[in-house]
Amino acid sequence: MLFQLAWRNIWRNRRRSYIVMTSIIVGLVSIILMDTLSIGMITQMLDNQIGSHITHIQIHKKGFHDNKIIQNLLPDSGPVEKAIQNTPGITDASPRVISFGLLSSAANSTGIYLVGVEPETEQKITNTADFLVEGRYLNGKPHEIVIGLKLAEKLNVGLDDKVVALASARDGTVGSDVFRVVGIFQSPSSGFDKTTILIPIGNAQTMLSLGSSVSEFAMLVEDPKQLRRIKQRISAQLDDRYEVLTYEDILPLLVMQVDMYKEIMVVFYLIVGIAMIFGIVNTMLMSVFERVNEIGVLMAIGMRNSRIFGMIITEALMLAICGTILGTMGGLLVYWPLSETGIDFSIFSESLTAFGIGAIVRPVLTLESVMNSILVIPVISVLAATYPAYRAIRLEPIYAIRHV
Amino acid sequence: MKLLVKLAWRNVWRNRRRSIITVLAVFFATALSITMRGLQLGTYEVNIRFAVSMFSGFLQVQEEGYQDNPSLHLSFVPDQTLRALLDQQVTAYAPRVYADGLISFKNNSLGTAIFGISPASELTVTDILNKLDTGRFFGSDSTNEIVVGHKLLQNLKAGIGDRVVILAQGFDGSLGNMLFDIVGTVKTGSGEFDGMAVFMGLQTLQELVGMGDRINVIAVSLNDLDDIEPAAAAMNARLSETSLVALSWDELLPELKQAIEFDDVSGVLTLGILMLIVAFGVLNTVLMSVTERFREFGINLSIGMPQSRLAALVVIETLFMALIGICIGLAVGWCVNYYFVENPIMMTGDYAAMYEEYGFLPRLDSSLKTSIFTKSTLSVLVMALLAVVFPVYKVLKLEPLKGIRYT
Repeated sequence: MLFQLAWRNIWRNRRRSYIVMTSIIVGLVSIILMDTLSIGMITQMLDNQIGSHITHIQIHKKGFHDNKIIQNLLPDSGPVEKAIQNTPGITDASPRVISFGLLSSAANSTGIYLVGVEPETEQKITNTADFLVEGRYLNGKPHEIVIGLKLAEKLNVGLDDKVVALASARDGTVGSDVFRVVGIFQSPSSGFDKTTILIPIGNAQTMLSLGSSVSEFAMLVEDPKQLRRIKQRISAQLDDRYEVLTYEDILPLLVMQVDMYKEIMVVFYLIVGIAMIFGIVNTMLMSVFERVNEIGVLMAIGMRNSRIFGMIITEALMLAICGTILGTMGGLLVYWPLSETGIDFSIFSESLTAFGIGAIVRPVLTLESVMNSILVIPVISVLAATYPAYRAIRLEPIYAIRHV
Repeated sequence: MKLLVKLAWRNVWRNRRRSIITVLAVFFATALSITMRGLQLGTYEVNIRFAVSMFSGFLQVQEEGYQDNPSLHLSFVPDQTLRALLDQQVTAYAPRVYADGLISFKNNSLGTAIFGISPASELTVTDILNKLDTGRFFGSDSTNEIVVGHKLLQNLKAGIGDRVVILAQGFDGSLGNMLFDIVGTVKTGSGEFDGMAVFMGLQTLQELVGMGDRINVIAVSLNDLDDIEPAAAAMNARLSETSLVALSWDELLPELKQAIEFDDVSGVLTLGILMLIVAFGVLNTVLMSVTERFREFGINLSIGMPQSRLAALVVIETLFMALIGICIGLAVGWCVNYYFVENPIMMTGDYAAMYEEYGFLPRLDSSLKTSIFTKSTLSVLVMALLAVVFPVYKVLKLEPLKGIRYT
């Protein structure tokens, strides 16, 4: 009965209810959009890092991650390869040589992060090939190099131009070699494009006098949720000369940031909620005061205070729920197409690529966002309606009936 | 008019409770807008100031095109006219040479960014000399002593006093190398500097890369951020006949500029959403106060009050409520901003680490710029006026007879 009464009361003043609901809908749609965009940005930052270089799991010699010097090579690739083969859930793995050095052209020279890769397997675990703007990826031929667009611009080189790479070799001398540019990429991260270069692993090993040793194995797993289990399985098969790291170990700040953003978004939901409280309090207060007579009659015929209180709260709650349903639906309607196409923020491309996000941001909906958006308005409404409901039960039936 | 104002004022207080809540909503919007904008703009300013005085300088004079393509060849010899122009326009300036190279110690070699600076003039322009972590800075422009980023030293596994080899590509394309002694380290908080930078004397670097008296950049300091635009304009006007340009911080640090713009836009959007929600609240209140007075308005119309005056009455009532809310909001907002200007929010733990990771100071500052207050006031007023459009339309459409009979 209470629900029926409350439902009918809402629709007695249609326009007022519509306005309250519209404000809820506008608020929810915009906050869902902001929320999903922020989460989308961070997810992209993380995904880009994983996709371009970090991958899901890396295996090195213990201590390599803290000190990436060329001498920290994997003591023995054999057991590592075996461990990878024996662990289910790993889709692809690839060996790498990693060093820091200098790349020079006739025009200029710059510091680089040198990565020697096995082209065939590397392409399965990283996506640099997808970001090529000119030329092609390495295909196994020696003395080829793939560099970022920013680096190419700085060195003033194009396809087929020659560059000289210098890097410290295992024995302490400086190794150098000449490479021909075969591909130029532009990834979503300008930092990556400015410093990272890819060369065939064989050239890297010769140039740095490594023999057949490598710096790391990088791999992708089928189901990232199983990441920790897989890491443990690999670790169990290797002795303590090795370190097995997931992307969470390598990028702790980025992983943490996702959680931090969720915290920050709760504050945004609250601010929007508070902005709505005023509207809802006022609406309910007015609807109570226009019905002083009626409420007086209800009291006079014996309706208990608790039920009158409940009726007002239910009215507010119903308004909120209707608004929330429509608002969340509206938010999702805006979200779906955008999550496909993404929003082009090219005017901010320099800062977005500096943060490794990329100029196109795709919103990402999380369970937390849905929960926040579904809960915040009803909770706020109930809070907002307590004052009007309290005013209603404070009425004296005798005076209320006579109220004009 | 006087009568209308009086009438409006009394009408506002006829339903005291409702008006107070509306005023509160306006107050909330104003105060929040001032606080949020204050925190944003204040933090931007501190970060710009920090970045500018760290190393980039307020302005830089460079060869045109050097910023996009930093090549040793885009260098110049500062002549007498340029010096005279600088003396006249800016508070201090420092010449620099930039190069990239490879630094080697024992078995380790790392890529570095080499900055040739002249300590005496650098001290007047930027804070880099004050960022000394250990050891000391070199005293002259032509010693073979260098200062490196503290992480670079760590990665090299070298220590203060160690002798290192630096290899760099020279002006003529050949590779030159020299021996250097590490005498100190800097700690700037910026990963790029701490992990890659080598500072050496200006003349030493000129000798290493064989570029004679040529330099790449003159970094310039000014008194205040607001002086940047006029100074840049004045200098570029005078430099137009040469191949040199004066670039301001936003051209030198485009990432910082865009990060700020991006944050700025998202802040403005958030406030826009907030204003919209508050606008609906105000709309509802005004609309209800209008509909419950349809009878009264009908009578007013029948006894000859023009509709436009009734509409004006509604607008004035709304303005009254908005202005009261804005005034309280301005006062409270000012206090909040003043508090944060005096006591900036220092971030700790994870948040601090994240801010530093992106090259921002781990603190939030506020600002008491008048533009924050005027813009907040204006946007709240616009919001209130938008909210009153529909109720006014209702009043204008009201027919006297219907109004009188309205129940």
